[in-house]
Amino acid sequence: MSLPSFNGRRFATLLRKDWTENWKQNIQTFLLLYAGLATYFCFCTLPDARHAHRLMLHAHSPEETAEWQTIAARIAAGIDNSWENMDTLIHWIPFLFVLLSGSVYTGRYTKNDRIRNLTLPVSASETFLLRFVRTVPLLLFGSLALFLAADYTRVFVCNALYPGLHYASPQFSFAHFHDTQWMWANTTLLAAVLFIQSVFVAVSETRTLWPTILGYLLILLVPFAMSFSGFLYKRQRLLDNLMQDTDFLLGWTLFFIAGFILNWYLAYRHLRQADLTYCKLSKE
Amino acid sequence: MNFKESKPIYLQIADRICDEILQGRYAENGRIPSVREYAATVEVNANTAMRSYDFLQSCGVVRIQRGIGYFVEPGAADRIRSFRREAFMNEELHDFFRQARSIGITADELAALYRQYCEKDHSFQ
Amino acid sequence: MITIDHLSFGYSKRKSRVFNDFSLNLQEGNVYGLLGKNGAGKSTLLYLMTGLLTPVAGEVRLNDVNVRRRLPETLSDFYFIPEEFDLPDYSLEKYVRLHAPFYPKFDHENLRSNLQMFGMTEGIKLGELSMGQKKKVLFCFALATRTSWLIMDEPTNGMDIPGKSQFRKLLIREMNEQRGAVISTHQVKDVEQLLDHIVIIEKGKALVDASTSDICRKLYFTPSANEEEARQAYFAQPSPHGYSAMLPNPDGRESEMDIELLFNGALAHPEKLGQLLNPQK
Repeated sequence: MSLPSFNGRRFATLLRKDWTENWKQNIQTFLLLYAGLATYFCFCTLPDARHAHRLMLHAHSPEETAEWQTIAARIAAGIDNSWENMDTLIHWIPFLFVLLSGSVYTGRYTKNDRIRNLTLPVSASETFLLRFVRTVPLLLFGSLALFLAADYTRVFVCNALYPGLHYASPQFSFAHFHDTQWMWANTTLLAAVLFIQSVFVAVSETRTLWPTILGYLLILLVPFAMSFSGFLYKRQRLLDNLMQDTDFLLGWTLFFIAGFILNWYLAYRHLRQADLTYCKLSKE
Repeated sequence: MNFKESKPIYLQIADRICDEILQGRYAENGRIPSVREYAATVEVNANTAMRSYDFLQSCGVVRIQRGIGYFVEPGAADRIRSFRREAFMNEELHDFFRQARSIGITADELAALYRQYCEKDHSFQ
Repeated sequence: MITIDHLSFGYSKRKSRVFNDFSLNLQEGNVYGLLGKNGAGKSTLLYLMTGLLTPVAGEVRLNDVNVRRRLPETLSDFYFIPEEFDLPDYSLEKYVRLHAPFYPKFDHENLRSNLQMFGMTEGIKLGELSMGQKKKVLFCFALATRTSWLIMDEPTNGMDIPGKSQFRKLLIREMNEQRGAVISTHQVKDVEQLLDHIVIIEKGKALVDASTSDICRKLYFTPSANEEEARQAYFAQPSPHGYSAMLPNPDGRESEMDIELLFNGALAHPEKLGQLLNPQK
């Protein structure tokens, strides 16, 4: 399979066109997600912060004072209490983004869209690269930016409502990068997220709808089922141990990366195969 | 341009150009629009217009100067009038006479009516 | 040149094929009229010619390159105007800035003069246009790309009457020996005078594939009040003055082609007229 010609200037024109046509929607989506995430973060933190604030100002009974001492100690140590509640759920955030990134590029184009896209004089490699750039780096950095923005909002709101308490502190710090364990776990998580996103991309470009539905179901239902049924919870200790096992993580990382590459290759093949029948085609 | 069913379109277009020459729109040795320009004006295929131009060329009404364009031949107006005269005599007049005879109008009646017509409408060209 | 080479296509394996071993050659310098009944496959053929559909067998080549490969060199040498399309919601100026670079031969001056024909300027907002106006705009843009081929599906559909006239003028003005146009339409009267070559599709084959001069040489079109004459014709249909007839033309008499008559006649007597008007048969 020969690689079709790639022209840098043409690609730049394609990028410009894509951004100009979609920037409003992109920004809107980003703001919407930010609003949702920030609200959720605040929702997790603020009740606890209110409780702690009340204790700080009005601790009377010995139990309350003791409780306050504990909380104050943790604040002094820089531990953000609210994250204990969110910890398990926080790892669902990437999945949310993956889900959304799948919908960004669902192949359910209308016939008119398809005609326009398929007759634009760009090569398949340029179209593919555009899709890749839109999906992977943009979304990764976008997700990170979203997370940071929501987190800082949470901290800001908390400190604004309950001054002097410093209940919340930002979650992301570069100190994390020195923690090998943290790096490994999150690299595996990153690889997993990229893999899942690539599954969405690969299944969303097919001619009929059922592979897409099947893909979504598998990727969504299985983890949700596992978590809500307590499957993971019962094996929490086992999971914790595994998370310390570098070889285990390495294996999974390699698997996810291999899957990622395979899925993007499939996406490229679909791109070459796609024609006007890959959409809601009215009867000719 | 609305085309009649009777005459081939390229001839109708040739007539139109001849009308314009008679009206003085194009002077002798003056340039007429290019084939494509004229085709666009009357909304026909350039090949059809080409046939018209070829026809006019063969009649000696226009000439082509390669690389420059088509030009009205000197004496074109007279040539057009004599062609039309001949065509009129051979076709329309012939048909008219045939019809007149079948209805039963005599030669004298025809002459008198024509004379009357000419006297009344002197200004008409 | 567009070569359609033993093309076969069907939308699904279960349904019957739309085209079976269909071949056709299109040369630059001509305006082709593509006619056919509803559902005969005109739009499908256009999609196949522009690489939008994948043939089951055979191929379509533009300048000896398979169009289905969708190479940028091929895609930038034709412009396809579909029957229905959407335009983004910004100004034409912006549209040109974003899309013109994909067509290396794009001519801005030409675009301006094309728009002038329709009385439009580059400042118009594309989102505010009616369908007819959109067609005019895209037609102007398409001409300005200076592609070798302009392929149009029902280009005058939805255009107002002055627009149709302007369309004709513009097409004639912009065509030359290096450019070809393919017009698929039911609105035959809109483009009758422009066509150099007629292709009538029926049952997946080219029933008629002949130049207009060929057609006028082999057939004689005439109004007739004579029933006898009408009976001898290949085809005749009633008209206010009796009949419009399409007769054999052994003497090579001159007449003006009546596309409607040709179309109806070809469909009524495909064998006779196919034999006469399709060089492949």
